[in-house]
Amino acid sequence: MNPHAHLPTAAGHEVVVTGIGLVAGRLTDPEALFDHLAEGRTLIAEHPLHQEWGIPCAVSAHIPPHVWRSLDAAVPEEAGAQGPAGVLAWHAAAQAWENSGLPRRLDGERGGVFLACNRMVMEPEELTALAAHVDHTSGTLDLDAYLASDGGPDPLRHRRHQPDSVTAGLADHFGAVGVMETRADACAAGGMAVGSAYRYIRSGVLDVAIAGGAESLTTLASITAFHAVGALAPAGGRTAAEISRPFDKDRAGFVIGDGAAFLVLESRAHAEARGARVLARVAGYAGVTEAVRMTSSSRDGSDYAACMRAAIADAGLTPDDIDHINAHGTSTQANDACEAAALHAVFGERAARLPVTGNKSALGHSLANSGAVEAVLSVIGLQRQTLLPTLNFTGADEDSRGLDIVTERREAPVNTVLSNSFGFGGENCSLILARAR
Amino acid sequence: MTALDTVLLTAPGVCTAAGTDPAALWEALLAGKDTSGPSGIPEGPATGTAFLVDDPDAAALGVHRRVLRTSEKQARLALYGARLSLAGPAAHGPVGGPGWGLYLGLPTVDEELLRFGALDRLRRVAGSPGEVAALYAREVPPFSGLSHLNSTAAAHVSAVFGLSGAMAAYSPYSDAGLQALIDGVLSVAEGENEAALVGAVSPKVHPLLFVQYEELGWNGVVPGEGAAFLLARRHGTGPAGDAPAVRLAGYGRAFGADGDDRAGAIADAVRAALEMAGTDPGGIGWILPDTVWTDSGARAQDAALDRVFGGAAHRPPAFTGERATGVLGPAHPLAHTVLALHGLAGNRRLVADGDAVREEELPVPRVLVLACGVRGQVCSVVLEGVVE
Repeated sequence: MNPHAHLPTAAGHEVVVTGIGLVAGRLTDPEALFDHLAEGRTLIAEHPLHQEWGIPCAVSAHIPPHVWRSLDAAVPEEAGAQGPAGVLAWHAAAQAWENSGLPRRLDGERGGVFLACNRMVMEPEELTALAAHVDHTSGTLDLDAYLASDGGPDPLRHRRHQPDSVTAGLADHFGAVGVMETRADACAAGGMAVGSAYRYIRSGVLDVAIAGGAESLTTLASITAFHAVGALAPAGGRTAAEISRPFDKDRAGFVIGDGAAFLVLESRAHAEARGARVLARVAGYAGVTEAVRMTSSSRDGSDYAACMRAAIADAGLTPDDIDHINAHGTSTQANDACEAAALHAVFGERAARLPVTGNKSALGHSLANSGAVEAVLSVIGLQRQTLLPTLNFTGADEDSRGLDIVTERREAPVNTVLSNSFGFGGENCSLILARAR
Repeated sequence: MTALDTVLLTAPGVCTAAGTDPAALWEALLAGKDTSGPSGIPEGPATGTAFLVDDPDAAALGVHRRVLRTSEKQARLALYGARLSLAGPAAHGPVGGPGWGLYLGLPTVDEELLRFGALDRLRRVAGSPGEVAALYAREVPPFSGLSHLNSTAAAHVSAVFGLSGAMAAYSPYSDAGLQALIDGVLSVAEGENEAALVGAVSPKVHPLLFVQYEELGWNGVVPGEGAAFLLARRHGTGPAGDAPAVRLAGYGRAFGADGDDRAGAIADAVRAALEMAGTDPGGIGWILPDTVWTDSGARAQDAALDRVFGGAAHRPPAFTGERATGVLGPAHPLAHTVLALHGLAGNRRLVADGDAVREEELPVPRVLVLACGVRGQVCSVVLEGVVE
């Protein structure tokens, strides 16, 4: 081990993307997802189990059972027991790694894994088993009896559900153990995982990183909790495909989704030395905290704007250099209003000519995964010189007026994309992705 | 001279069963004070004792009562630890702003979401999905969608202290605490932040924490609650009279899933930290190893320290604050970091002598702190006293 290799330098290595992979709905590769979205199609559908539960808005961008089964079966034995997010992560990460053409294992400590995943809470089946061992008079749990019972906890449950077991498993599998980060930054975590990996490569600490997110929160506990704070969109008489509508005048909340997405990042020197195909570049990043409210940012957009400006500056660019916005665009009143204000603040009059895409209109909001999957889609957009549509945008309100919301697939020269991810509580992330050169 | 030389670690703040400042923790350890108490969990394997801390109220946190509705105890502990840390800097000038970042190590505990009192009802309606969903709708706390996100802790700290610089939050085990320290220092060293508040909190002692520990091979160490914070800031930007301070002189990271691989990884991480710090085993005056809560992990850590320090002419003593704090998850290595700052400031160290603890002179101003994550992730840091 060379300790000084772990010290960052001011060398400013160029960071390139050489591999991408994802799972979204029934689609299990990035190009298929891009084509699907380019055709104006959605992944949001009615969820049979949620309907059975009688949830007010029983739609989500979930993984169908037959896809789950096939993904679960394909997880390598060495991965061990994996929970839902882990299964998605393994598939997306392995796909990205294969796509990069890297050898099956790295040699040494110059690789890293950066995983974003939020916490799980116990679901009804597990709680029902727990309930059998609660003294309902005193409200206490007989822990010994619970642990020893037939219906007791799955002995591998925490391995399945703790996100860092995925981080460690992927690091071991790919031999990428130089830096291992499990990020828990809410909805910004995926973008922040990519950004953190970018920083470690840029500063010379790592040559290679696999970075992304995985989330599987289309569960009763999560949906109930987000519904309780009014964050989820009501159906409002609309079809499943029409409910998520970022920046639209009639937006009313987000639709939750599952998924995983990973990118392989490398220093240009490392990629070129092995003759790798460069898909795009990560040119800038900002991941900042803010000090406003739990559920919304500053209404004038100043905090989001500061994050975007920091990322643009980090890339050595100016706002005039940005060609496309991949918005956080959750379809909630608060987020989209703040983000729209921030776009006006950063880009001024040019905002009217700067195309904006909200992928969550079709993908729903997969929280920690959202920034990663949107980065993957941005990479393909740069490659194809194609902008994806924001579904269901029928008209602007006062907040989104003056923005160029892309509503149909659009061919356009795109050299740089600004991709935003903003988390509950004020953890903000902007990535600058740029065309390969 | 490395980029690390430009960053100082100051303003230690700690909140554990042993009190709310580093000196209190030091004295409790030295006096052998029993700071444990009933865990409040009457049934189960060795669950009778824990090192609990009171849940800080709005007055202690200096916030409006509504903040308590959107936070779990862990977030409130984080806020309290941050307040303890920043009290000193705030007395000398403004804290917060765009150049002030936040780096956190945060645990996850598998909370049941429904109160135990509601579980009887759940058991009775378990066969009816609609009734289960209706029960959830009634019983799930209204802000749990937010308060169960780890970002909540960061949000509350940022909002109260006006932090709006670069940030990161890591989870869930002890390595997350040192990862936060390393990345927080690097954020200042690389100019991303002017100052970075670094902190970590423990899991909340809860019946399901013991379930989690059991599944992961728990060796019976007693859990504790707490938070530990400190400030990484650029050299020369602190108040006069803030010296002596401490710097992160070196760090190492490694991974070894189990067995000999794990011991090798811990040894590698320690050697890397020593070498980056420009020292060797003889240049370390005190070791604060992790309180590893699996037998295999504890054996690996012992074996690794034997490999690195076994040949040293004067092997530095290893000491852990566990006897006064319990095991604190991500906060454990940062509580040790706070102890190290206190020891370096007074040029003292604590040495375990059977059940007793004695204080003696720190022969060299360098302390090694270790964190060994459950999955095999290892972080180590060398902290070095400096006079600003």
